Amino acid sequence: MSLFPVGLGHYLLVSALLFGLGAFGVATRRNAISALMSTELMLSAACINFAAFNHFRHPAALGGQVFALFIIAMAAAEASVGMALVVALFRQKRAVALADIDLMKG
Amino acid sequence: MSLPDIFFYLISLALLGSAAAMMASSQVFRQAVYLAISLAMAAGFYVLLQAELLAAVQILVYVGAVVILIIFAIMLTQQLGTGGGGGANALKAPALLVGLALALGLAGFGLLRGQAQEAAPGFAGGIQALGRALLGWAALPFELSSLALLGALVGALALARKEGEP
Repeated sequence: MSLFPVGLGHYLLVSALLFGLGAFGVATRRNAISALMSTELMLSAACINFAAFNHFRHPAALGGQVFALFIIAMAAAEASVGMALVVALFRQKRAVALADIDLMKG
Repeated sequence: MSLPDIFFYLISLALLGSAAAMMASSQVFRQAVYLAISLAMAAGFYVLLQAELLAAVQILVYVGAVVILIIFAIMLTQQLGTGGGGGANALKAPALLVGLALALGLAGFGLLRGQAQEAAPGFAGGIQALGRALLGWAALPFELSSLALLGALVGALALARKEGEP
């Protein structure tokens, strides 16, 4: 794999690194909001993959772009519900640290 | 070596750099700003991939709406400027291993399978074709996604309202 010209592999490499960074964030963040932000990073990496495959493999079909649009819409829905959950939990327990959220612990 | 290729390297540098800075920062608000930068850089990728509508939607929805929502949630839940609260837990080393393994595995798979039989990139037909696709063969998921967004709206309202309010 050479540096030029930029092909599908380059995009896949960057998005894989982005996904790894997001997974690291989800596993390590102590704050619920930070963990949700890391999820957005992972979703964005998946979107880049869809657009790249669309561009390099099936440029005439638009399935990848359409799917990426749906991912963005669902990510927005997920973010709004997630933030509402965080705010509701903050009202109840005065905490946004994931370690303090143990309502379902027996 | 062409101009789009140079832009690809610049954008990926900024994207991965801001994502790494987001992971390194321990202040939640700074993380949100770095997230906004990296999402905007992802929109640059979409421009390079000739997905202009996707780039516009990315800027509008992600950088415009989701990041603002996140910043609102940060402002509602913690004192700005006091710092802290966003740091990492004790799982840093194993999480780094898992993240690296995920990235390398995905990248290796992509590089193995991505190089073979590369199709010649062509013009997809732009926004018009995308609009026809959205209201053509993708009409059902398109309408369903509007239902899902409505459900998320109602659910977020129901979750976030105060107890006892109608």
